[in-house]
Formats: sequence, structure tokens, C-alpha cells
Amino acid sequence: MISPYGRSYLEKLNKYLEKLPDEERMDAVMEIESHIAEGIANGQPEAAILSRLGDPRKLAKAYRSQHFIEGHRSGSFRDILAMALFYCTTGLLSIMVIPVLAVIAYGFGFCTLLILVAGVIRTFGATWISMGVPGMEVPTEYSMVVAAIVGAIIGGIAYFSWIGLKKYMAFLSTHYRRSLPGGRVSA
Amino acid sequence: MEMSEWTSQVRRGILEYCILQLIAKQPRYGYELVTLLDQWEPLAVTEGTLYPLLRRLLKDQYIESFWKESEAGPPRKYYSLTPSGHQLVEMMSAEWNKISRSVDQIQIYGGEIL
Repeated sequence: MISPYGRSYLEKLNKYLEKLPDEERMDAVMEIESHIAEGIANGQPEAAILSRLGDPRKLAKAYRSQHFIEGHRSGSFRDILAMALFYCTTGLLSIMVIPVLAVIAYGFGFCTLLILVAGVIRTFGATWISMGVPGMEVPTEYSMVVAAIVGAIIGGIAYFSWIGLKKYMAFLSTHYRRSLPGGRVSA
Repeated sequence: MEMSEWTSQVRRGILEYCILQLIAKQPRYGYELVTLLDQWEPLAVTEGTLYPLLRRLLKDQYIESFWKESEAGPPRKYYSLTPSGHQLVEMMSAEWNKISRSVDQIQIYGGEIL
């Protein structure tokens, strides 16, 4: 009934489930075996059933993460290592990425406001505000236009840094949740 | 990305309830549950979700399992509700009715008091 290919799937599953108590592991493998045989009996191609079951390693992991929820184990050597790696890499990256993006986003955002305000008050005669490149002063009547253009550029940089910051932090939060035991019960 | 995260969070709890409801009517086996749930697109479930979920419900003693020979195919592992599982389903059902009624009202009336 079940081909050697299907058998090897079951063997792999059995191997990856080695951390479960023997009785549960055997029961789980028997159940998946029954599932495959049932599909074949219902006329499904074995390859299709196996591909639906997915990577045996991932299936075993799903069983194991349920195991964690039950609180039998605080985490295997490998799971802790994966978590440690996640925290180390993202932790280091965050030290760089978060302050840089945050400073750019808020700093440039504040500058945008200043530039716009300067443009307005310069138009109305605040001569102490100089605008332009050395040797070339912007005429007073163009103050608003120049302020709007420069403001848009600086504001754009602030905006994209802010979006980037949000995305990066959202990414961290999702992966943090997933790295928690049992956090990966996706369907 | 954010949408699928939301969907999977919403489904997680509902799926558990639906599985318990399906088992409440009569004992069912895993392949049968997958096939049944496949009829409703938002509830379609992969084996990688179903079997571990069943295992947790077993551990929590809301369901129990037994192996039974089938006429033609291989032996099947059936699941049925324990008394505490029946209790859980009843409570979930009452809660679900309350939740879905509230959400419906918000969706339709947008919180306007009738």
C-alpha cells in the first residue's frame, strides 16, 4: 500500500519526534501512517498526501511545540540555540538600526517643520534667516517655494526612516512571538 | 503579512472550537476531520496543525482516542469528547454566540445604539 517513499517519510518523522515519550511518538507515527493509507484508499496520489503533510521535520516541530505548551520541557538544546542566535543577531542589529532610524525619523521630521516655518516667516520679512548656498541668496519672494522643496526632501527622508523603523520593529515583534515555545501554531 | 498574521490568530481559536464540535456529534478520525474542514475554505486545516492540536486536546483530557479497525483500509484513530470536553464545547458555544452576535451588530450598525 504505502510505497518505500512513504515509508521513508514515516521513518524521518519518527526520527524527528525522538524527543517525545516513546508511546506518544509511536502513536503519532501510526496515526500519520493511517492518514496516508486512508488517503491512498480514497484514491489520492501518495505524493499529494505527502506534500500536504509537508516536511517531516516541520510536522515533528509542530508536535514538539505543542509539547512545550504543556510545559514538559523548557526547550531542547537546539531550540534554545535557535533562540539565542535570534536574540544575538537581531539584538546587535537593533543597536545599530533602531537608534539611527529613530534619530533620522524624528530629527529630520523636526527639521522639516523648522524649514517650513522659516520659509513662512522669511517671506514676511524676517531678514535674519539666510537661505541659499554660499554666494547665492534666495530672493525673499521665493522663500516659500525653496522651503517647500527642501522640506519635502528632508521630510521624505524622515518619512521613509519612520516607515523603515516601524517595519523593522514589527518584524522583530512577530519573530519574537514565533521564537517563543508554541508560538508557531500556524495553519 | 499583517493580514495573514491576523487571520491565523483569529482562526486558531475558532478552529479548536469547530474541531470539538465535529467530534461532539460522533467519534471522528483525523483524515475525516481534514476532509470535513476542507469544505469550508476559511477553516481548511493542514495536518501539521490538526494532529498536534488533537494531541494537545488529548493531553488536556477534553478528548479521548481509540484505535478501531476499518472495513477496507488501515486501522483508524478515533477521537471523542470526554465529559469535560462536552462541558467545554457547551461553554465555548455560548461564548461564541455572544461574540458573533456582538461583532455582527458592530459590523452592521457600526456601534449605533438601536
